[in-house]
Amino acid sequence: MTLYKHELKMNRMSFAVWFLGVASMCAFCVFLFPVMEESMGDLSDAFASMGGFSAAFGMDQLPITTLEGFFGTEIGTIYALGGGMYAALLGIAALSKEETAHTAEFLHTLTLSRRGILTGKLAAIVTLLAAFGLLHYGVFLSASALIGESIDLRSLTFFTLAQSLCQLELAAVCFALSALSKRSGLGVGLGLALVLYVLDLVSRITDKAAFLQYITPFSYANATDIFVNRGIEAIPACVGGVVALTALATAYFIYTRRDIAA
Amino acid sequence: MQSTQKAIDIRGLTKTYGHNRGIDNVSFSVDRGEIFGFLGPNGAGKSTTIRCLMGLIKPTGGAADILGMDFLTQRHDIMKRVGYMPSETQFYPSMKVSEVIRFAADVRGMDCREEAAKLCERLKVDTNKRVEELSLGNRKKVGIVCAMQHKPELFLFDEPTSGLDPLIQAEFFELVQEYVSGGTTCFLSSHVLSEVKKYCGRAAIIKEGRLIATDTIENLAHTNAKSVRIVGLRDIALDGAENIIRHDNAVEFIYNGNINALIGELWDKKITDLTIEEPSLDDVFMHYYGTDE
Repeated sequence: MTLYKHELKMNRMSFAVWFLGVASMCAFCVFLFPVMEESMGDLSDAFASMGGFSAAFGMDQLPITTLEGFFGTEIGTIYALGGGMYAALLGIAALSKEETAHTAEFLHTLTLSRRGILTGKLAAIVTLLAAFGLLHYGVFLSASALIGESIDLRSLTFFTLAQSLCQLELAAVCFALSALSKRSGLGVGLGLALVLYVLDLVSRITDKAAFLQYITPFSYANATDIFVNRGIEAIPACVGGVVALTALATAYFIYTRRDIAA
Repeated sequence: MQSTQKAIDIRGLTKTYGHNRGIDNVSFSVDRGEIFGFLGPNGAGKSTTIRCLMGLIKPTGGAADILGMDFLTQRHDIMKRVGYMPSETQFYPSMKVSEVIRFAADVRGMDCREEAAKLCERLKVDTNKRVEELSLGNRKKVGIVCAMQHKPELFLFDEPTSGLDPLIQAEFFELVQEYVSGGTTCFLSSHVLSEVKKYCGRAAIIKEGRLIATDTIENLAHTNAKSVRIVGLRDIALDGAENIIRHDNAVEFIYNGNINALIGELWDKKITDLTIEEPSLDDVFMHYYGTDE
Protein backbone atom coordinates (compact mmCIF):
# COMPACT_ATOMS: atom_id res chain seq x y z
CA MET A 1 0.00 0.00 0.00
CA THR A 2 2.91 2.35 0.74
CA LEU A 3 4.36 1.84 -2.73
CA TYR A 4 0.90 2.23 -4.29
CA LYS A 5 0.44 5.60 -2.58
CA HIS A 6 4.00 6.56 -3.48
CA GLU A 7 3.38 5.77 -7.15
CA LEU A 8 0.17 7.80 -7.20
CA LYS A 9 2.04 10.70 -5.64
CA MET A 10 4.92 10.44 -8.11
CA ASN A 11 2.47 10.41 -11.05
CA ARG A 12 0.09 13.12 -9.90
CA MET A 13 1.73 15.91 -11.89
CA SER A 14 1.88 14.03 -15.19
CA PHE A 15 -1.69 12.86 -14.61
CA ALA A 16 -2.84 16.45 -14.14
CA VAL A 17 -1.00 17.60 -17.27
CA TRP A 18 -2.35 14.80 -19.46
CA PHE A 19 -5.87 15.06 -18.07
CA LEU A 20 -6.01 18.83 -18.46
CA GLY A 21 -4.48 18.63 -21.92
CA VAL A 22 -6.76 15.94 -23.33
CA ALA A 23 -9.90 17.04 -21.47
CA SER A 24 -9.54 20.66 -22.51
CA MET A 25 -9.11 19.67 -26.17
CA CYS A 26 -12.14 17.37 -25.96
CA ALA A 27 -14.25 20.02 -24.20
CA PHE A 28 -13.12 22.65 -26.72
CA CYS A 29 -14.32 20.41 -29.55
CA VAL A 30 -17.68 19.85 -27.84
CA PHE A 31 -18.07 23.63 -27.48
CA LEU A 32 -17.23 24.02 -31.17
CA PHE A 33 -20.01 21.63 -32.18
CA PRO A 34 -22.90 24.17 -32.28
CA VAL A 35 -20.86 26.42 -34.58
CA MET A 36 -19.67 23.51 -36.73
CA GLU A 37 -23.18 22.06 -36.87
CA GLU A 38 -24.46 25.20 -38.61
CA SER A 39 -21.55 25.61 -40.99
CA MET A 40 -21.22 21.91 -41.91
CA GLY A 41 -24.91 21.28 -42.56
CA ASP A 42 -24.45 21.03 -46.30
CA LEU A 43 -21.10 19.23 -46.13
CA SER A 44 -22.33 16.20 -44.22
CA ASP A 45 -22.96 14.15 -47.33
CA ALA A 46 -19.60 15.17 -48.78
CA PHE A 47 -17.78 14.06 -45.63
CA ALA A 48 -19.61 10.74 -45.75
CA SER A 49 -18.59 9.99 -49.32
CA MET A 50 -14.85 10.47 -49.29
CA GLY A 51 -14.10 6.78 -49.65
CA GLY A 52 -11.31 5.42 -47.51
CA PHE A 53 -10.88 8.66 -45.61
CA SER A 54 -14.54 8.61 -44.52
CA ALA A 55 -14.27 4.93 -43.60
CA ALA A 56 -11.07 5.47 -41.61
CA PHE A 57 -12.68 8.10 -39.41
CA GLY A 58 -16.17 6.57 -39.39
CA MET A 59 -17.78 9.49 -41.20
CA ASP A 60 -19.57 7.05 -43.48
CA GLN A 61 -21.46 5.57 -40.54
CA LEU A 62 -22.62 8.61 -38.57
CA PRO A 63 -23.35 12.08 -39.94
CA ILE A 64 -20.82 14.56 -38.64
CA THR A 65 -23.61 17.07 -38.08
CA THR A 66 -24.95 15.08 -35.10
CA LEU A 67 -23.21 15.26 -31.75
CA GLU A 68 -22.66 11.47 -31.84
CA GLY A 69 -21.16 11.72 -35.33
CA PHE A 70 -19.03 14.69 -34.38
CA PHE A 71 -18.00 12.92 -31.19
CA GLY A 72 -17.06 9.78 -33.11
CA THR A 73 -14.87 11.54 -35.67
CA GLU A 74 -13.35 14.39 -33.68
CA ILE A 75 -13.59 14.02 -29.92
CA GLY A 76 -13.26 10.24 -29.96
CA THR A 77 -10.06 10.53 -31.98
CA ILE A 78 -8.54 13.09 -29.60
CA TYR A 79 -9.46 11.02 -26.56
CA ALA A 80 -8.27 7.75 -28.12
CA LEU A 81 -4.89 9.21 -29.10
CA GLY A 82 -4.38 11.24 -25.92
CA GLY A 83 -5.50 8.44 -23.62
CA GLY A 84 -3.53 5.84 -25.58
CA MET A 85 -0.31 7.82 -25.43
CA TYR A 86 -0.77 8.55 -21.71
CA ALA A 87 -1.42 4.86 -20.98
CA ALA A 88 1.61 3.80 -23.01
CA LEU A 89 3.83 6.28 -21.18
CA LEU A 90 2.53 5.14 -17.79
CA GLY A 91 3.25 1.52 -18.63
CA ILE A 92 6.61 1.95 -20.31
CA ALA A 93 8.04 4.12 -17.53
CA ALA A 94 6.67 2.14 -14.59
CA LEU A 95 9.60 -0.20 -14.03
CA SER A 96 12.41 1.01 -16.26
CA LYS A 97 12.35 4.52 -14.76
CA GLU A 98 13.68 3.09 -11.49
CA GLU A 99 16.75 1.80 -13.30
CA THR A 100 17.31 4.80 -15.55
CA ALA A 101 17.01 7.13 -12.54
CA HIS A 102 19.14 4.74 -10.43
CA THR A 103 16.47 4.53 -7.72
CA ALA A 104 15.95 0.77 -8.23
CA GLU A 105 18.65 -0.13 -5.74
CA PHE A 106 16.94 1.94 -3.03
CA LEU A 107 13.47 0.56 -3.77
CA HIS A 108 14.53 -3.07 -4.13
CA THR A 109 16.52 -3.17 -0.90
CA LEU A 110 13.65 -2.16 1.34
CA THR A 111 11.28 -4.93 2.38
CA LEU A 112 9.42 -5.10 -0.92
CA SER A 113 9.44 -8.27 -2.97
CA ARG A 114 9.66 -7.93 -6.74
CA ARG A 115 6.07 -9.19 -6.99
CA GLY A 116 5.07 -6.55 -4.45
CA ILE A 117 6.76 -3.84 -6.51
CA LEU A 118 5.05 -5.01 -9.70
CA THR A 119 1.67 -5.20 -7.99
CA GLY A 120 1.99 -1.80 -6.33
CA LYS A 121 2.98 -0.14 -9.57
CA LEU A 122 0.32 -1.94 -11.59
CA ALA A 123 -2.39 -1.02 -9.08
CA ALA A 124 -1.35 2.62 -9.36
CA ILE A 125 -1.54 2.48 -13.17
CA VAL A 126 -5.01 0.92 -13.07
CA THR A 127 -6.17 3.57 -10.60
CA LEU A 128 -4.77 6.42 -12.69
CA LEU A 129 -6.36 5.10 -15.89
CA ALA A 130 -9.68 4.52 -14.13
CA ALA A 131 -9.57 8.10 -12.82
CA PHE A 132 -8.58 9.33 -16.29
CA GLY A 133 -11.62 7.59 -17.80
CA LEU A 134 -14.07 8.65 -15.09
CA LEU A 135 -13.01 12.28 -15.19
CA HIS A 136 -13.26 12.38 -18.97
CA TYR A 137 -16.70 10.76 -18.78
CA GLY A 138 -17.68 13.64 -16.52
CA VAL A 139 -16.13 16.16 -18.91
CA PHE A 140 -18.02 14.70 -21.92
CA LEU A 141 -21.33 14.82 -20.06
CA SER A 142 -20.77 18.30 -18.60
CA ALA A 143 -19.62 19.81 -21.89
CA SER A 144 -22.61 18.29 -23.76
CA ALA A 145 -24.97 19.65 -21.14
CA LEU A 146 -23.37 23.09 -21.35
CA ILE A 147 -24.08 23.35 -25.10
CA GLY A 148 -27.64 22.11 -24.53
CA GLU A 149 -27.16 18.79 -26.31
CA SER A 150 -27.84 15.34 -24.98
CA ILE A 151 -25.56 12.48 -25.87
CA ASP A 152 -26.56 8.82 -25.89
CA LEU A 153 -25.59 7.79 -22.36
CA ARG A 154 -25.34 4.07 -23.12
CA SER A 155 -23.00 4.64 -26.06
CA LEU A 156 -20.90 7.15 -24.14
CA THR A 157 -20.57 4.72 -21.22
CA PHE A 158 -19.53 1.88 -23.51
CA PHE A 159 -17.13 4.18 -25.34
CA THR A 160 -15.43 5.30 -22.12
CA LEU A 161 -15.25 1.71 -20.84
CA ALA A 162 -13.86 0.46 -24.15
CA GLN A 163 -11.27 3.24 -24.16
CA SER A 164 -10.28 2.32 -20.62
CA LEU A 165 -9.83 -1.31 -21.67
CA CYS A 166 -7.81 -0.14 -24.68
CA GLN A 167 -5.64 2.02 -22.41
CA LEU A 168 -5.17 -0.86 -19.97
CA GLU A 169 -4.11 -3.14 -22.83
CA LEU A 170 -1.59 -0.58 -24.08
CA ALA A 171 -0.33 0.04 -20.56
CA ALA A 172 -0.01 -3.72 -19.94
CA VAL A 173 1.99 -4.31 -23.13
CA CYS A 174 4.25 -1.35 -22.32
CA PHE A 175 4.51 -2.57 -18.70
CA ALA A 176 5.87 -5.87 -20.04
CA LEU A 177 8.35 -3.99 -22.25
CA SER A 178 9.33 -1.93 -19.22
CA ALA A 179 9.96 -5.13 -17.25
CA LEU A 180 12.26 -6.31 -20.03
CA SER A 181 14.24 -3.14 -20.51
CA LYS A 182 16.70 -1.24 -18.36
CA ARG A 183 16.26 1.86 -20.51
CA SER A 184 13.46 4.40 -20.41
CA GLY A 185 11.75 3.38 -23.68
CA LEU A 186 9.47 6.44 -23.75
CA GLY A 187 9.85 6.67 -27.53
CA VAL A 188 8.93 2.99 -27.88
CA GLY A 189 5.80 3.50 -25.78
CA LEU A 190 4.61 6.54 -27.72
CA GLY A 191 5.53 4.92 -31.02
CA LEU A 192 3.61 1.77 -30.16
CA ALA A 193 0.45 3.75 -29.32
CA LEU A 194 0.66 5.71 -32.58
CA VAL A 195 1.41 2.65 -34.73
CA LEU A 196 -1.53 0.74 -33.24
CA TYR A 197 -3.77 3.73 -33.89
CA VAL A 198 -2.66 3.85 -37.53
CA LEU A 199 -3.25 0.09 -37.85
CA ASP A 200 -6.85 0.70 -36.79
CA LEU A 201 -7.23 3.33 -39.53
CA VAL A 202 -5.73 0.95 -42.08
CA SER A 203 -8.01 -1.91 -41.00
CA ARG A 204 -11.00 0.32 -41.79
CA ILE A 205 -9.81 1.42 -45.22
CA THR A 206 -9.36 -1.97 -46.86
CA ASP A 207 -10.92 -5.34 -46.22
CA LYS A 208 -7.56 -6.96 -46.87
CA ALA A 209 -6.30 -5.43 -43.62
CA ALA A 210 -9.42 -6.25 -41.60
CA PHE A 211 -7.46 -8.81 -39.57
CA LEU A 212 -5.63 -5.88 -37.98
CA GLN A 213 -8.70 -5.18 -35.87
CA TYR A 214 -7.67 -8.19 -33.76
CA ILE A 215 -4.21 -6.73 -33.25
CA THR A 216 -4.92 -3.12 -32.37
CA PRO A 217 -6.93 -2.24 -29.27
CA PHE A 218 -8.18 0.92 -30.96
CA SER A 219 -10.52 -1.20 -33.11
CA TYR A 220 -12.89 -2.31 -30.34
CA ALA A 221 -12.69 1.13 -28.71
CA ASN A 222 -13.59 3.06 -31.87
CA ALA A 223 -16.09 5.78 -31.04
CA THR A 224 -18.09 5.62 -34.27
CA ASP A 225 -18.52 1.84 -34.10
CA ILE A 226 -19.69 2.08 -30.50
CA PHE A 227 -22.11 4.96 -31.16
CA VAL A 228 -23.55 3.14 -34.21
CA ASN A 229 -23.85 -0.27 -32.51
CA ARG A 230 -24.52 1.07 -28.99
CA GLY A 231 -22.12 -1.55 -27.70
CA ILE A 232 -18.65 -3.05 -27.96
CA GLU A 233 -17.56 -5.78 -30.37
CA ALA A 234 -16.99 -8.69 -28.05
CA ILE A 235 -14.34 -10.74 -29.87
CA PRO A 236 -11.71 -7.99 -30.42
CA ALA A 237 -12.35 -6.77 -26.86
CA CYS A 238 -11.82 -10.28 -25.48
CA VAL A 239 -8.65 -10.62 -27.55
CA GLY A 240 -7.54 -7.31 -26.03
CA GLY A 241 -8.21 -8.62 -22.54
CA VAL A 242 -6.23 -11.79 -23.23
CA VAL A 243 -3.34 -9.75 -24.66
CA ALA A 244 -3.33 -7.54 -21.56
CA LEU A 245 -3.32 -10.51 -19.19
CA THR A 246 -0.60 -12.27 -21.18
CA ALA A 247 1.52 -9.11 -21.15
CA LEU A 248 1.12 -8.79 -17.38
CA ALA A 249 1.99 -12.45 -16.82
CA THR A 250 5.09 -11.91 -19.00
CA ALA A 251 6.04 -8.84 -16.98
CA TYR A 252 5.78 -10.80 -13.71
CA PHE A 253 7.72 -13.73 -15.15
CA ILE A 254 10.57 -11.59 -16.45
CA TYR A 255 10.86 -9.01 -13.71
CA THR A 256 10.97 -11.51 -10.86
CA ARG A 257 13.92 -13.24 -12.49
CA ARG A 258 16.13 -10.67 -14.11
CA ASP A 259 19.00 -8.64 -12.74
CA ILE A 260 18.30 -5.11 -11.60
CA ALA A 261 20.67 -2.49 -12.98
CA ALA A 262 22.65 -0.37 -10.50
CA MET B 1 18.18 -16.32 16.06
CA GLN B 2 21.05 -18.25 17.57
CA SER B 3 24.04 -16.16 18.55
CA THR B 4 26.44 -18.81 17.18
CA GLN B 5 25.32 -18.23 13.64
CA LYS B 6 27.37 -16.22 11.24
CA ALA B 7 25.96 -12.89 10.15
CA ILE B 8 27.04 -13.66 6.58
CA ASP B 9 28.19 -17.02 5.25
CA ILE B 10 29.06 -17.04 1.55
CA ARG B 11 29.96 -20.32 -0.16
CA GLY B 12 31.31 -20.38 -3.70
CA LEU B 13 29.33 -17.39 -4.88
CA THR B 14 29.75 -16.94 -8.61
CA LYS B 15 28.31 -14.44 -11.04
CA THR B 16 29.11 -14.22 -14.71
CA TYR B 17 27.71 -11.87 -17.34
CA GLY B 18 27.79 -13.98 -20.46
CA HIS B 19 31.49 -14.45 -21.12
CA ASN B 20 32.39 -11.54 -18.85
CA ARG B 21 33.74 -12.00 -15.37
CA GLY B 22 31.73 -10.93 -12.37
CA ILE B 23 32.85 -12.87 -9.31
CA ASP B 24 34.25 -16.37 -9.21
CA ASN B 25 33.76 -18.84 -6.38
CA VAL B 26 33.83 -16.26 -3.59
CA SER B 27 33.63 -17.78 -0.09
CA PHE B 28 33.99 -16.10 3.29
CA SER B 29 32.00 -15.50 6.43
CA VAL B 30 31.34 -12.57 8.70
CA ASP B 31 30.86 -13.15 12.42
CA ARG B 32 28.04 -11.53 14.32
CA GLY B 33 29.00 -8.31 16.01
CA GLU B 34 32.13 -7.58 13.99
CA ILE B 35 33.03 -4.85 11.55
CA PHE B 36 34.24 -6.63 8.44
CA GLY B 37 36.01 -4.89 5.60
CA PHE B 38 35.76 -5.94 1.98
CA LEU B 39 38.72 -4.51 0.13
CA GLY B 40 39.34 -4.21 -3.54
CA PRO B 41 40.00 -1.68 -6.27
CA ASN B 42 37.24 -0.42 -8.51
CA GLY B 43 35.87 -3.22 -10.67
CA ALA B 44 37.26 -6.01 -8.46
CA GLY B 45 33.81 -7.45 -7.72
CA LYS B 46 32.90 -5.85 -4.38
CA SER B 47 29.60 -4.38 -5.56
CA THR B 48 28.75 -7.51 -7.55
CA THR B 49 29.16 -9.60 -4.40
CA ILE B 50 27.02 -7.23 -2.34
CA ARG B 51 24.36 -6.87 -5.04
CA CYS B 52 24.13 -10.68 -5.21
CA LEU B 53 23.65 -10.83 -1.46
CA MET B 54 20.93 -8.17 -1.64
CA GLY B 55 19.03 -10.09 -4.33
CA LEU B 56 19.47 -7.36 -6.94
CA ILE B 57 21.31 -9.72 -9.27
CA LYS B 58 20.94 -13.47 -9.49
CA PRO B 59 24.12 -15.44 -8.85
CA THR B 60 25.25 -17.96 -11.44
CA GLY B 61 26.28 -20.34 -8.69
CA GLY B 62 27.02 -20.75 -5.02
CA ALA B 63 25.05 -20.17 -1.86
CA ALA B 64 24.88 -17.72 1.01
CA ASP B 65 23.16 -17.36 4.34
CA ILE B 66 22.48 -13.97 5.83
CA LEU B 67 21.61 -13.89 9.53
CA GLY B 68 21.09 -17.64 9.27
CA MET B 69 18.62 -17.39 6.39
CA ASP B 70 19.01 -18.44 2.79
CA PHE B 71 19.67 -15.32 0.72
CA LEU B 72 17.54 -16.46 -2.21
CA THR B 73 14.47 -18.01 -0.61
CA GLN B 74 14.19 -15.89 2.56
CA ARG B 75 15.03 -12.53 1.08
CA HIS B 76 11.98 -10.76 2.49
CA ASP B 77 12.82 -11.75 6.08
CA ILE B 78 16.45 -10.84 5.51
CA MET B 79 15.62 -7.37 4.22
CA LYS B 80 13.61 -6.61 7.36
CA ARG B 81 16.77 -7.06 9.41
CA VAL B 82 19.35 -5.55 7.10
CA GLY B 83 20.28 -1.94 6.43
CA TYR B 84 21.89 -1.43 3.02
CA MET B 85 23.50 1.54 1.39
CA PRO B 86 24.68 1.30 -2.22
CA SER B 87 27.83 3.01 -3.43
CA GLU B 88 25.88 5.44 -5.58
CA THR B 89 22.86 6.41 -3.56
CA GLN B 90 19.96 7.82 -5.55
CA PHE B 91 16.48 8.79 -4.44
CA TYR B 92 13.44 10.27 -6.15
CA PRO B 93 14.55 13.79 -7.14
CA SER B 94 11.23 15.54 -6.51
CA MET B 95 10.87 14.21 -2.97
CA LYS B 96 11.95 16.04 0.15
CA VAL B 97 14.58 14.33 2.28
CA SER B 98 12.03 13.93 5.09
CA GLU B 99 9.67 12.19 2.65
CA VAL B 100 12.38 9.78 1.48
CA ILE B 101 13.28 8.84 5.05
CA ARG B 102 9.60 8.43 5.96
CA PHE B 103 8.95 6.38 2.82
CA ALA B 104 11.78 3.96 3.68
CA ALA B 105 10.36 3.53 7.19
CA ASP B 106 6.76 3.19 5.97
CA VAL B 107 7.69 0.46 3.50
CA ARG B 108 9.20 -1.40 6.43
CA GLY B 109 6.00 -0.77 8.39
CA MET B 110 7.98 0.84 11.18
CA ASP B 111 7.85 4.11 13.07
CA CYS B 112 11.49 5.19 12.96
CA ARG B 113 10.97 8.91 13.58
CA GLU B 114 12.94 9.04 16.81
CA GLU B 115 15.97 7.20 15.47
CA ALA B 116 15.80 9.08 12.16
CA ALA B 117 15.75 12.43 13.98
CA LYS B 118 18.81 11.40 16.01
CA LEU B 119 20.69 10.29 12.92
CA CYS B 120 19.76 13.42 10.96
CA GLU B 121 21.00 15.60 13.78
CA ARG B 122 24.32 13.78 14.11
CA LEU B 123 24.94 13.62 10.37
CA LYS B 124 23.68 17.17 9.84
CA VAL B 125 21.01 16.20 7.33
CA ASP B 126 18.71 18.99 6.17
CA THR B 127 15.37 17.19 5.92
CA ASN B 128 13.57 20.09 4.25
CA LYS B 129 15.67 20.02 1.09
CA ARG B 130 14.57 18.24 -2.03
CA VAL B 131 16.71 15.34 -3.23
CA GLU B 132 17.46 17.14 -6.51
CA GLU B 133 19.17 19.88 -4.48
CA LEU B 134 21.53 17.49 -2.70
CA SER B 135 25.21 16.91 -3.44
CA LEU B 136 26.58 13.35 -3.59
CA GLY B 137 27.76 13.62 0.01
CA ASN B 138 24.40 14.81 1.26
CA ARG B 139 22.61 12.08 -0.67
CA LYS B 140 24.98 9.62 0.97
CA LYS B 141 24.02 10.96 4.39
CA VAL B 142 20.33 10.39 3.59
CA GLY B 143 21.29 6.86 2.51
CA ILE B 144 22.97 6.29 5.87
CA VAL B 145 19.85 7.45 7.71
CA CYS B 146 17.64 5.15 5.60
CA ALA B 147 19.98 2.22 6.26
CA MET B 148 20.26 2.79 10.00
CA GLN B 149 16.93 4.22 11.15
CA HIS B 150 15.25 0.83 11.63
CA LYS B 151 18.13 -0.40 13.81
CA PRO B 152 18.94 -3.46 11.71
CA GLU B 153 20.96 -6.47 12.86
CA LEU B 154 23.29 -6.19 9.89
CA PHE B 155 24.64 -3.25 7.94
CA LEU B 156 25.75 -3.79 4.37
CA PHE B 157 27.54 -0.71 3.14
CA ASP B 158 29.05 -0.44 -0.32
CA GLU B 159 31.80 2.19 -0.19
CA PRO B 160 29.91 4.19 2.43
CA THR B 161 32.35 7.03 2.88
CA SER B 162 32.99 8.05 -0.71
CA GLY B 163 31.77 11.61 -1.11
CA LEU B 164 31.55 12.28 2.63
CA ASP B 165 33.69 14.99 4.18
CA PRO B 166 36.18 13.85 6.88
CA LEU B 167 34.04 15.10 9.78
CA ILE B 168 30.99 13.20 8.59
CA GLN B 169 33.15 10.15 7.85
CA ALA B 170 34.28 10.19 11.47
CA GLU B 171 30.71 10.65 12.68
CA PHE B 172 29.59 7.79 10.43
CA PHE B 173 32.14 5.39 11.90
CA GLU B 174 31.28 6.55 15.40
CA LEU B 175 27.66 5.65 14.67
CA VAL B 176 28.70 2.29 13.24
CA GLN B 177 30.73 1.51 16.32
CA GLU B 178 27.83 2.47 18.59
CA TYR B 179 25.44 0.17 16.73
CA VAL B 180 28.04 -2.62 16.67
CA SER B 181 28.57 -2.30 20.41
CA GLY B 182 24.82 -2.89 20.67
CA GLY B 183 25.11 -6.15 18.72
CA THR B 184 24.82 -5.05 15.10
CA THR B 185 27.19 -6.53 12.51
CA CYS B 186 28.73 -4.29 9.88
CA PHE B 187 30.00 -5.41 6.50
CA LEU B 188 31.50 -2.62 4.47
CA SER B 189 33.27 -2.55 1.17
CA SER B 190 35.97 -0.03 0.53
CA HIS B 191 39.03 0.75 -1.49
CA VAL B 192 40.25 3.06 1.26
CA LEU B 193 42.70 0.97 3.22
CA SER B 194 43.10 3.38 6.10
CA GLU B 195 39.46 3.20 7.16
CA VAL B 196 39.46 -0.60 7.01
CA LYS B 197 42.65 -0.67 9.09
CA LYS B 198 41.20 1.72 11.60
CA TYR B 199 37.73 0.32 12.10
CA CYS B 200 37.58 -3.30 10.93
CA GLY B 201 38.61 -6.40 12.86
CA ARG B 202 38.80 -8.62 9.80
CA ALA B 203 38.84 -8.10 6.08
CA ALA B 204 38.64 -9.94 2.80
CA ILE B 205 40.53 -8.84 -0.27
CA ILE B 206 39.06 -9.37 -3.70
CA LYS B 207 40.90 -9.00 -6.97
CA GLU B 208 39.52 -9.51 -10.47
CA GLY B 209 36.47 -11.29 -9.10
CA ARG B 210 38.39 -13.74 -6.93
CA LEU B 211 38.92 -13.65 -3.21
CA ILE B 212 42.62 -13.63 -2.54
CA ALA B 213 42.77 -13.28 1.23
CA THR B 214 40.49 -13.28 4.27
CA ASP B 215 41.92 -12.75 7.71
CA THR B 216 42.25 -10.42 10.64
CA ILE B 217 43.82 -7.09 9.84
CA GLU B 218 46.83 -8.08 11.96
CA ASN B 219 47.36 -11.37 10.15
CA LEU B 220 46.88 -9.81 6.74
CA ALA B 221 49.81 -7.55 7.54
CA HIS B 222 51.97 -10.53 8.53
CA THR B 223 52.68 -12.41 5.34
CA ASN B 224 55.95 -14.01 4.25
CA ALA B 225 56.56 -10.96 2.14
CA LYS B 226 58.95 -8.36 3.55
CA SER B 227 59.20 -4.67 3.04
CA VAL B 228 62.76 -3.88 1.93
CA ARG B 229 64.53 -0.52 1.65
CA ILE B 230 68.06 -0.29 0.32
CA VAL B 231 70.00 2.96 0.41
CA GLY B 232 72.83 3.23 -2.09
CA LEU B 233 71.06 1.46 -4.96
CA ARG B 234 68.82 3.04 -7.58
CA ASP B 235 67.27 -0.19 -8.91
CA ILE B 236 67.18 -3.89 -8.37
CA ALA B 237 66.46 -6.85 -10.66
CA LEU B 238 65.54 -9.81 -8.52
CA ASP B 239 62.90 -12.52 -8.70
CA GLY B 240 60.30 -11.91 -5.98
CA ALA B 241 60.78 -8.14 -5.87
CA GLU B 242 57.46 -6.40 -6.46
CA ASN B 243 56.04 -2.91 -6.29
CA ILE B 244 59.51 -1.44 -6.77
CA ILE B 245 59.77 2.26 -5.93
CA ARG B 246 62.94 3.91 -7.18
CA HIS B 247 64.41 6.99 -5.47
CA ASP B 248 67.56 9.00 -6.33
CA ASN B 249 69.74 7.01 -3.98
CA ALA B 250 67.45 4.29 -2.70
CA VAL B 251 65.05 1.61 -3.75
CA GLU B 252 62.02 0.18 -1.91
CA PHE B 253 60.11 -2.98 -2.72
CA ILE B 254 58.08 -5.84 -1.37
CA TYR B 255 60.17 -9.00 -1.42
CA ASN B 256 58.44 -12.35 -1.62
CA GLY B 257 61.45 -14.53 -2.47
CA ASN B 258 64.23 -16.38 -0.67
CA ILE B 259 66.06 -14.08 1.75
CA ASN B 260 69.42 -15.73 0.85
CA ALA B 261 68.91 -14.75 -2.77
CA LEU B 262 68.40 -11.15 -1.68
CA ILE B 263 71.58 -11.18 0.43
CA GLY B 264 73.49 -12.85 -2.42
CA GLU B 265 72.28 -10.15 -4.79
CA LEU B 266 73.51 -7.40 -2.44
CA TRP B 267 76.85 -9.12 -1.59
CA ASP B 268 79.03 -7.23 -4.05
CA LYS B 269 76.97 -4.02 -4.13
CA LYS B 270 78.02 -0.84 -2.37
CA ILE B 271 75.03 -0.10 -0.21
CA THR B 272 74.93 2.31 2.72
CA ASP B 273 71.83 1.03 4.52
CA LEU B 274 69.46 -1.93 4.44
CA THR B 275 66.08 -2.20 6.17
CA ILE B 276 64.02 -5.39 6.10
CA GLU B 277 60.75 -5.31 8.03
CA GLU B 278 57.21 -6.64 8.18
CA PRO B 279 55.17 -4.91 5.51
CA SER B 280 52.40 -2.50 6.50
CA LEU B 281 48.84 -3.35 5.50
CA ASP B 282 49.21 -0.79 2.72
CA ASP B 283 52.19 -2.75 1.42
CA VAL B 284 50.27 -5.99 1.67
CA PHE B 285 47.38 -4.42 -0.19
CA MET B 286 49.70 -3.26 -2.95
CA HIS B 287 51.43 -6.65 -2.91
CA TYR B 288 48.15 -8.43 -3.58
CA TYR B 289 47.09 -6.02 -6.26
CA GLY B 290 50.47 -5.78 -7.89
CA THR B 291 50.90 -9.53 -8.40
CA ASP B 292 49.65 -10.99 -11.63
CA GLU B 293 47.73 -14.26 -11.40
